[in-house]
Amino acid sequence: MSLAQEIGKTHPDDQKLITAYAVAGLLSLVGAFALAAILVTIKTPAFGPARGDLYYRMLTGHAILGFVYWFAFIQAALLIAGATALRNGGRLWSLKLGWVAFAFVAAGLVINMVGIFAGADVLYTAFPPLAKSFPSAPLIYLGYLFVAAGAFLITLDFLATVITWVDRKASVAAWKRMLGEIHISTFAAICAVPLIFSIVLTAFFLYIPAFMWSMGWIGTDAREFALNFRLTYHVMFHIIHYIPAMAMIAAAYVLVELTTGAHSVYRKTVAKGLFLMYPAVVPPTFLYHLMADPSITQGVKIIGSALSLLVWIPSLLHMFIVTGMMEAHMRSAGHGLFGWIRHLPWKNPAFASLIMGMITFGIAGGLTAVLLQEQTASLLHGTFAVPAYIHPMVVGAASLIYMGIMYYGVSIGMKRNLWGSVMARVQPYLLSVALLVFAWAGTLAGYAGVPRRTADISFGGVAPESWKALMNVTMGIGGTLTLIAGVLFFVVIGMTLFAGRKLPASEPGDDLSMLAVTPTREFAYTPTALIPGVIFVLVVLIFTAGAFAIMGRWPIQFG
Amino acid sequence: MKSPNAYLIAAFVMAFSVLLIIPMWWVYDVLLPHDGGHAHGAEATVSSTEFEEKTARFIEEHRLPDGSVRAEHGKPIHVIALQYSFRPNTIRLAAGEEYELQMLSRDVVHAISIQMGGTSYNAVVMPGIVTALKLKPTKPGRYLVLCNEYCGIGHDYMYFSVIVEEAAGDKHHEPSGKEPREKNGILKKDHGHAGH
Repeated sequence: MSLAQEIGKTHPDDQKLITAYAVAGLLSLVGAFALAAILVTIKTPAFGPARGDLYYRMLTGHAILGFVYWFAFIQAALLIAGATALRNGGRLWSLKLGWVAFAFVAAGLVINMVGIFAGADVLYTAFPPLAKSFPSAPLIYLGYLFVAAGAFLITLDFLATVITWVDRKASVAAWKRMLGEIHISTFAAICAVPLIFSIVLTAFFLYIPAFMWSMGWIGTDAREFALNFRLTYHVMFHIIHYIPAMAMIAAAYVLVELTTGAHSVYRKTVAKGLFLMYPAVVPPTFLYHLMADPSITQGVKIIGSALSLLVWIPSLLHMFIVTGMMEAHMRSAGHGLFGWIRHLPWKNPAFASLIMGMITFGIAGGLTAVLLQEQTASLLHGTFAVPAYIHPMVVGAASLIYMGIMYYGVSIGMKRNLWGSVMARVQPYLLSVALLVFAWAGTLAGYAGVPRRTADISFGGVAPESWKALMNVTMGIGGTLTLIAGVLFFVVIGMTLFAGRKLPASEPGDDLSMLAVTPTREFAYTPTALIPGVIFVLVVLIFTAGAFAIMGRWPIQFG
Repeated sequence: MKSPNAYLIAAFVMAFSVLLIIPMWWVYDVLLPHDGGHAHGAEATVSSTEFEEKTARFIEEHRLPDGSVRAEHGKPIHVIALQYSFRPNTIRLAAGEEYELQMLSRDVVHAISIQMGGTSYNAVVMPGIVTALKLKPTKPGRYLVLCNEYCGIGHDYMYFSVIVEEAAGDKHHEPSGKEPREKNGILKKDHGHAGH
């Protein structure tokens, strides 16, 4: 039985829950894009005046909708799918709990939106003591508590489901057998559980006192509170980043199988073991967000920098395995060393989402090199280089790969052919290219000193002239193209739901059919798959050396 | 390579080679903490009132007729950050001299981004903990220093200037009161508060 057929057997009740999360996620993403349109207008110097009053409110809403709710909903949908759709029609432990969790996340969304539009211009960080100056800031903290509670409940439901898969709970062999049998992506979700629970616990630890403080119910030294909040926040915020990273890679394993029919030539335990690395290496590396803070000593920061380098390792190896899956599979049909690449299903929008997502992830990942190191972070900390890498990561990579999954989701789940084939084919490439323009020009802007989170970058006319040109390309071209690609996706999915041609069964539609590969030989080698990783490592080393070269020429020497 | 696993081993070597950055730190002599370094004055805690007094005294003692302050080599430069200005708002340094800049926020978290013509140096400025930077300007000119941590609705207008003058003995000061401040309403406004 193919993976698509297995997914098609998902129980209708579980499917409804997955659909609810996916639709709520999609609506959050639509909201994030709508507010991004306002941000693009404000931040493109060629488009018009910089409106700080509007900018910070829209930025707060954009980030909360995109980074918190789109991800919270869609990743919950993927978690449930990992426990049901990838389990050959297996059921979720408690459907009711799944809906209660949904209600909590949805309530969090409503509370946060009320807070933002009532005037909480606190950005999604909502740092004290700044938040105190905005009367509706408590609603930001309260909304976060609701979404954290929802994430906790759905993860609990997932974990309970996993436990039901083992009959003899006391038998280690039974657990090993279950963990060996399950899909790599489901295993990845299990590895994410300790991280999700850490996030939830930290969120409660952070936002319960913050809510009480912002309501004036508890008195505290604002400065000490700000310091503690900042440190704890970054522990939580850091771990949050790796949930989309893990979920995206887990989704990549599903997509490569659905689009090409490829399986890994390496033992599944290798890929599964790499997912185990994340809960081990992610928490101790939170320090890289604080490299420019005065509250941490340089020695600790240097140790943090060394540890930070480890976070690339599992992702690089996953990239190698996923690329290798395609390579070995395609070359078994007789294609040559590089010839196999040409024969991949480039017109399948979900495949395009996968491959372009991986490329964008690699490039954006390389851009983080300078920011992760204490020795070089002061060159880019707080500059536009930060959004210039984070947007390709979360939109051009994670969201794009989730979009690839959604193409299959609507086709298999709703039994509909994709509406607007051409739009669907173009969309992943456009989104990726748009984000790469954003990344390229935005990184240059960051290196040139353009600050992030600043509406008006003219500074009374004394800012460098080059800033305008760089931001015109970053936001005016990169941002606008991203918006167009987003609209294409929303139109295709929306129209498919209501006007897509009905399919006779739960199966991928025409545009999504699996590539037909006829093996003519046994082939289990993956040399080409090494190339992206080698390029990545070289880019990281070159960026680091480049940063030292720039710092060596500074007209003011520091330290 | 004959064995499929050889490629997997090669992939592990490839992935772990990102750790080559560590010997690179050694080559650039930044593997171990330096005095000053990028520590930003870690753990030097101080009360806001105490720091404000020091800043006011520093401004009073070093103020020039045009409202800017000329820092002295060997004595710390005190700058206080507050929504939405820096005090003092124009600091004069001499090229080739070494200085220590000490900064503290009076209210929320701020940051400084020292613009150096196509590149910048960035550090966070917080309440309660001093951000201390050792710096040595080498090239005369006027440098924009802006806040790059969102600190409220007036964040866009929070910045100050550092003017690096020719080294002592070869001094050619910009005429007092003739700074391009007239281009810049915010600096002009803040200038009036510089001595507080």
